[in-house]
Amino acid sequence: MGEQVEDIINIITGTDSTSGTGTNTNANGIGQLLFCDARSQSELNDFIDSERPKLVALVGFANYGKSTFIGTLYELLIQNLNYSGYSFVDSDTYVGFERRVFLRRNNDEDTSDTKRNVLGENDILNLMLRSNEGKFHQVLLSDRSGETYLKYTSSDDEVKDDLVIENADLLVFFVDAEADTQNLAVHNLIVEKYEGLLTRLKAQHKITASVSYIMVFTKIDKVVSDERREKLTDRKKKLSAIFTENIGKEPDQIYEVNSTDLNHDALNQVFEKIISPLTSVEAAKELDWVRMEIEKQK
Amino acid sequence: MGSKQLKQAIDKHLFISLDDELITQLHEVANSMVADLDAVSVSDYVCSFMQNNVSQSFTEAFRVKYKEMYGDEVKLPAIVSRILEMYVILLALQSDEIEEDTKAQISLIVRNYAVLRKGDWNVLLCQKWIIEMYSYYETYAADMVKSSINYSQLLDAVVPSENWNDTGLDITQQAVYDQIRSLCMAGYYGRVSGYIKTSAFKNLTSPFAQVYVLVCKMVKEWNWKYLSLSPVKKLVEALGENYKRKKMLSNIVTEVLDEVQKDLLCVPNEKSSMLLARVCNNRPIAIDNKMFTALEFGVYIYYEMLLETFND
Repeated sequence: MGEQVEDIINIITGTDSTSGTGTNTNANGIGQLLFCDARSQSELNDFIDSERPKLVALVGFANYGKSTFIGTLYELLIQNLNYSGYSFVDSDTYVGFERRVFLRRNNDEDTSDTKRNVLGENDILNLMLRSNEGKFHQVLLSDRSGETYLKYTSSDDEVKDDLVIENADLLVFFVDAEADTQNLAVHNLIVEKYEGLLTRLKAQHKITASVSYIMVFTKIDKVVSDERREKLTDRKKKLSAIFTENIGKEPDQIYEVNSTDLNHDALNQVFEKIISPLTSVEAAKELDWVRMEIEKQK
Repeated sequence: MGSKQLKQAIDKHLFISLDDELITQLHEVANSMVADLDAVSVSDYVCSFMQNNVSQSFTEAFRVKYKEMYGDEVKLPAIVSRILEMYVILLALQSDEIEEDTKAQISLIVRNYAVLRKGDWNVLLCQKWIIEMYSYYETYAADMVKSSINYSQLLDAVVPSENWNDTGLDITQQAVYDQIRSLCMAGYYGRVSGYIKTSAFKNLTSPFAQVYVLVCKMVKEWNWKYLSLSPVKKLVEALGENYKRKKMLSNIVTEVLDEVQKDLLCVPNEKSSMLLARVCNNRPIAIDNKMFTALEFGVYIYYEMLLETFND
């Protein structure tokens, strides 16, 4: 009986706790049994129905809080919360979301730091939303393991095959504020990893001119003392300068969030930014041929 | 080469581009479907497209054709099928094999279905193609009134003279015919002006009923289409300031049915003449809540009636 429960947990979390390391669900085939799990980047086109959805890439290294962030977003949406006038209707990737909620809960309880997204696991999650006026809008979220992005810092081959970043409408870069405000060596390591990542993405032309990006400093509840607050102010400046230099423009916004606090204002602002539809390109006025004919004749 | 416009349209809407070889195959299949197009299939495809759907009959016809040509099944994202649905129509309009009458008819079908997107154009795919499709009717109409001498030149020469020799005109018999024809067309124009002064027209209280009746006469009795002129100026002349009056379609229909005689209600093609069908059948449709000014309603109805004349 106990083993069965453990098996179920393994399937939900995508891990094999007996091995001691996260096992790739796709590699061992378990993930393929799950209906409504996250999908891979090669399946991005399958989400396109009548229009191309908004694609948001969550970028960051291991333990920066991406999955906790996603888990909270999902939990709030299924409680019928409304962001930018849009509420959650459906998802094709419920299991992917549920898995992240499970991880978030585990992290909350501090029971394990091994149950998290693992390298190579499918990362594309979708949210179908409906506006108060009844218009539908779909958001795709890419939530990859931090190890994936760590590999990007050292290998052009890994970056070359990336389809998410180059197609993204919004890039959300995560930084672990708790780690960043520790000693200088830890901060330098964060800077070094992001410099490596951004340089390779830039070299491979993965960051498009039209993409927007924001920076999200997580675990802000752990940055309490005056000394750490000061460090954070200083380090945010340094990091954002590196992003600006590599991406060619300043971030739209820099947020400080606590992803485990469902009422956190800044967190809700980031969710709002993610959920809100893209500003649609104005349609050619010639499409309204009756209006055109009237204008021409009058 | 021929598939370049298809590739551009598809690439714009996908995250991951389709293989070039597949795009060429899709182009070839679409091209082979052009010969089988008729008004019914065009109506079906355009109607689905304008409602952000894919016609089931198109999907099936494309699948069968693809299998026939390449011996395999093809699985395409829904958005690609929607693009192909319009691509087949675009190829027909760009083809030298298709007659001008047919092209004009297709162009009017596209124009008429566009009413489904009125006020909500942003999500429409392939916008450049749609605008190109509209233009085929204009080209066709312009070709109908070609003339070698302009109308005012003829007036200035003929009115002051007492016989042909006095006019000093040196023109061929065909040119004479063209001019007589253009004078007769001016007669059509005068008929409309005359009618809007009659009590039969003035007694209609609703501007929507007025445009309905006027457009019926212009298209059905007075062959206005040969003038190749937009009805806008005449409708404004007829309605005065009332051309700006705006109402919801369902209310417009009520007003029209209250005042228009039954013999002016026709049995239109329900699919491609949506507003006419809404009036004549008095059955609710999806766009009942859309707002139209009297002038807009008149223009839509005019082109729907024009399309009906192709079906007659």
